[in-house]
This record gives sequence, structure tokens and C-alpha cells, in this order.
Amino acid sequence: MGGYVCRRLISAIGVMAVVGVFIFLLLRLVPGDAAAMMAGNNATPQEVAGIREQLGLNEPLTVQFVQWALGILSGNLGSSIFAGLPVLTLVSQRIEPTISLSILTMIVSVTGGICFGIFAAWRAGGFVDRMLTAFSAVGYSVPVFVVGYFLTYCFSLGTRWLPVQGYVSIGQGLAPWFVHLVLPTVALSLSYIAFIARITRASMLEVLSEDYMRTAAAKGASTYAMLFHYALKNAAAPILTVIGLSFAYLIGGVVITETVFNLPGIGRLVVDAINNRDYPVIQGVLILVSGLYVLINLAVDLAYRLVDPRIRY
Amino acid sequence: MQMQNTSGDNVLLDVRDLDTHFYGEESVTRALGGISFHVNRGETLGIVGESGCGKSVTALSILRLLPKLTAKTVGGEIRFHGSDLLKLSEREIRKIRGDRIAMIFQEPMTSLSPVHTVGHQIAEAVQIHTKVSRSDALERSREMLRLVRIADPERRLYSYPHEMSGGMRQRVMIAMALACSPELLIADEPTTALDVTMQAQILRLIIDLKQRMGTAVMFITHDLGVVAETCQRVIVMYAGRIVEQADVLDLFARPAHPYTQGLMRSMPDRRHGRRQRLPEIPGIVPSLREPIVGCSFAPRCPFAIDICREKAPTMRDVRPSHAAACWRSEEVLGA
Ligand SMILES: Nc1ncnc2c1ncn2[C@@H]1O[C@H](COP(=O)(O)OP(=O)(O)O)[C@@H](O)[C@H]1O
Ligand code: SF4
Ligand SMILES: [Mg+2]
Repeated sequence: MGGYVCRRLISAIGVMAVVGVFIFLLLRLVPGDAAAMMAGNNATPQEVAGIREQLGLNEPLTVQFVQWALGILSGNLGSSIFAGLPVLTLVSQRIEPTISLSILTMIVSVTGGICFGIFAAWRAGGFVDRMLTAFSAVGYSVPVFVVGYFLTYCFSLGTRWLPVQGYVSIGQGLAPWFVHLVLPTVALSLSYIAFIARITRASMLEVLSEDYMRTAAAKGASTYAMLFHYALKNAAAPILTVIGLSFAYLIGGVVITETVFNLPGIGRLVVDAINNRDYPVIQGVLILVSGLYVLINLAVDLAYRLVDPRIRY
Repeated sequence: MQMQNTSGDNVLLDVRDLDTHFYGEESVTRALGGISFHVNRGETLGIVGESGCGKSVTALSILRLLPKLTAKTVGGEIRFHGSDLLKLSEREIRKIRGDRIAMIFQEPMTSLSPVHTVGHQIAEAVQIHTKVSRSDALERSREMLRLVRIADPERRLYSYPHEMSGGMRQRVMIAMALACSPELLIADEPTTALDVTMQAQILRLIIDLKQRMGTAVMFITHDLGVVAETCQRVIVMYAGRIVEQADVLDLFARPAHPYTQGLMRSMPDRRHGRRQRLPEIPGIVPSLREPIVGCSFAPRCPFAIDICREKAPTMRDVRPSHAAACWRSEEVLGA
């Protein structure tokens, strides 16, 4: 196990290095002069030269890369051209809504998806199962922003039960924080619930017909223990995979949801940075997000080992 | 039924007219067509018959472990301590499963959960039925592993099934089944999937533990040789019915049903090496999807006469404690 973790860590570092090179080249491969594009149409040549200087574009490519990589390794992701602030500072200012939305969404999606899937499998062909089929058709095919605007229309504009948009920091009270996140979380969770529930159902259905489930029944186990204890652990590997995938795809959904509900998070930071061609911010956030992807992958791989003792590395 | 049920309070399990059907797309399979038998306290009852005759269905019907969607016990009674198992609520039957009636299965390779440790799976059986702490339950698992003679029980407690051989897994199944000291153990072909040496060891283990714990055993097998070694009484099943029942010595000395005779002729003679081709009973088993007219064994029976094909024989005593469902038992006995 220890050896496996080491090998996995080394390969994760390798992946990050390759990703780093691509992100670095992004700025250099943009057609045209990146500095001129960032400066805008009305910029003077001096301003363009200033930006080029700030980005270090006058140095040879290899020197630029080494400087950039060393900066990242020492925790310096560069500075925003427009705000003039370090990228890390900008990220930390915007991280709270994003983390809140992501965590709530994952909690809702994982518990909702797994429970939904288990019940659908337990009574395969029954009411819950048919509900799941209909639900996942909607969950897969209707985009987040449509669901978002629809929910806003129903619960905020119509009934005024929930705020239309915006964000309140958790520091200002749990209730207002939560109330502002209900609709974004629900809108974002639907497709993940559908995704996780489908896989849970399929995996559980297979496990439920196994001989060891009959053994568990012969021991006198309750339905609850049979489903959640024996079957779920046996069915866990594919479910873990989709949870990992969902986490990874979550970032894209978060960007859209933040825009729909006007949440000042990382997603909005990136969208603004793209509009402003603020490359250091784009690169910095990309590096952070890629790092997160790699970590999630690592965590899922290690989790397999925990649920299935037959896996040997 | 004509068998002596007179020593009433000695009867542990009393099955009457059990009917179990499987429902397919277009057809109904009458897997059990009204079987009646009983198990006495502490005895070993053998159930024999060719593959597909309904032995497993009988066992699963008793504990109500049949697949819910496709199978249903449509008639009969299963009396256990005065109450009918078929009438109990789901909750009540769960209390009996594993605690008072336990079961072990034919396939040791797939009958244990691959992702839980062996100790955990045995402890679970204890914890479902008794209010004991986790550590006490594990202590009981350790004791059970020792009892089924697994070497190094301390380490094996934390092993997973895939780290064990088939024989060892069957020992674990036995440990799990006996952990709550049940009154009845249903062993459904527990040695069929094992090699010959391992078969003998597991058989000996079951007999030994049964005697030590006073458990009654319903021993299901297709092998009459196993019956001879383990059982006091035997039931012979054919096509979802019981065709003969007797004390084991009596059955071997004087089989009263042509099917039993056929089974005995096709028994491997253990003295003459193992792998010799045996004369199988010729003919095919009738389909259980259509109602059977007359004796179900008639198409294969060398004794068959006209009445056999018209009217089904019922169980009747041919001697004391020996009953058979055959019109011509007397001739069969005399043959
Ligand atoms: N899951 C099932 N689905 C449909 N029919 C079944 C099923 N299990 C058993 N049967 C029917 O019941 C009969 C008896 O099966 P079984 O009790 O398993 O035989 P055995 O004596 O070999 O244990 C079979 O011949 C088959 O027709
Ligand atoms: S009743 Fe007739 S057919 Fe059936 S076993 Fe007896 S002799 Fe054979
Ligand atoms: Mg069977």
C-alpha cells in the first residue's frame, strides 16, 4: 500500500508538470500579441510594452518557464494585470462561495443519488425505479442554467420564498448563507443525482442477486442492513468512480451556476478574467483546478482499496 | 401422513403439503407439488434426489428465502414450535433465520461477501440476534473458527474470503451458521463443490459439531453415499415430490421405490476406485411446467403398469417407519 501511494504520488507530480507546461504555453500560443490584446484597442505602444515587461514576455521562452515554474512552486501564481493584486489573493477572496456551493452540491448529490439508486434497485421496476428513469432523462438533458432560471422563477420571483440571487458569507449567519445557496445547489445537483443514482442502481442490482446476499438474509439480517451494509459496500467501486467524475465535472457546472445566481465565486473570477484577457489569473486558476483534479483522482484510487480488499497494486 | 408422528413433542419441524411455484414469462413451474415430512429434535434427516428435483427449493421455502418476484409458496404449512413459518411476519421470520434455523449453501466460493472480513461476517450473525458488544461477538467468531478447526483462527479472523480455499470457506460458513447455536441446520449440498478429501473432512466436521451441539440437521445431497455416512432417516425426492422415506439402514436394505433402487444402482462403489462410469437411470425427468398425470416416474420405471400412468400413487406405509409412493412397492421389495 505504501509503495503504491508513493508511485501514485510520483505519477501525479508528473501529470502536474505536463499540465503546467501546457498552461504556460497557453499565453505564448495565443495568436497575435498577447500583451497587445490585453492592453485593448486604445492602448499606446508604451502601455503594451509595459504589459509585455510585466508578463516577462521579452525573456527567452525557457527562462520564462523556469521563472514561472519556480514562482508557482514557491506559492506565487503571478499577479492580475487589471486588479494589480496577486492571483492567490484574488482566489482567496472568491473561494468561499465556490467551496460552499461545491460542498453542498456534493453532499446533496452523493446522498441523494445513492439513496435514490438503492431504492430503485431494491424495488426494480417499481414506482421509485420508474421515477428515476424519468428524473434522469430530465437531469441529463436539461442544462443547469435552464433549471436555475426555472427554479428562480418558481421559488423566488413567484412565491418569494427564496432570494433571487446573490451570496451572504457564512460569517454573517448560517441561515442567510444557506437560504442563498438552496436554489444554486438544487439546480446544480440534479444532473449529478441522476448520474450517481443510475450507476448506483445498476451496481446494486448486480450485487443483490449474488449468493452472499442470500447468505446475509439467511443470517436474519434486516432489509436495511442488507442494502446499506452488505450490498452497498460490494457495489461501491463503480459508485466511487462516478462520484470522482462528478467532482471533476463539478467545476464547469459551478462556473455556470455562479453566473446564473450571481455568486461572487471562482467561476465569476475566471469569466471576468477571460473577458478582460487577464492571462495570469486564468493561468493561476487553471493550475489550482488541475491540481484539484489530480488530487481527486488520487483520492478515488485510494478509496477503491478501502472498499475492495481484492484489489492489489 | 402415515409416518409415525406420534411422539409429537419430539418433532422439531413439521412440513405439510408444501407447494412452491415459480412464475416465468408464460409458464408456471410447480417446483414442489405438496411435500410432507418432519424433522425430529437432534436427528439428521437426509434429503436425496437427482439435481432439479426440488431439494434446494424445499430448503429455501422453509426459511422463506426464495426470490420474491418469481417464486411463491402457494400452499402448505411449516410448523416450527407450534407456529406456522409461512404465516409469520417478515420481522418474525428474520428472528428465526440464523438464530434457530440456520443454513449453509452449496457454493462456498460465492456465498461469503468478498469485501468483509471473515470474522466480521461471523460476528454479524451473532450481533443480529444477541445484544453483545462488538468485541464479544468477535470473541465468539474466534471460538467458532477454532471449533470448525481452522488453523490460526487469530489471523483468519481478519482474512477475506478470497484469501481462503473452498474447504476453508465452507468451514467459515459452518462457523457462521452454528454461531447462534441453532436448533436446526439446513445443509444444502455443503460438500458437492469440494474435492473428495475435503468432502470427507467437512462431512465429519458437520456430524461432529451436530453431536456436540445437539443440533438437528437437514442434510441435502444428491449422493446416497453421503446419506449412508451421515443420516438417521432419509427422504427421497423426485420431480418435486417425496417418493420414499425410511430409516437409513432400512432404505439401503429394502428400497421400496423403483427410483430409489435406480439411485442405488448408480451409486459409486467406494471400494472400486472412483472414476468408473455408472449406470444412470435411463429416461428423462418430466417437465414441471405441465401437470403430471399418474406417477411422475412412470416414463422411466421398469415396473410401470397401466394404473401408474393414470393415477398418481400416494405415500403409504410398506413396513413400519417406511413409506413409499408406488403402486407396486410390494413387487419392488420382492424383486
Ligand atoms: N430461480 C428459479 N427460477 C425458476 N425455476 C426454478 C428456480 N430455481 C429452481 N427452479 C425450479 O425448481 C426445480 C427444483 O430446483 P432445485 O430445488 O434447485 O433442485 P435441486 O434438487 O437440484 O436443489 C428446478 O427443476 C426448476 O425447475
Ligand atoms: S407407481 Fe408405477 S410407475 Fe411409479 S414407481 Fe411405482 S411402479 Fe413405477
Ligand atoms: Mg440444489
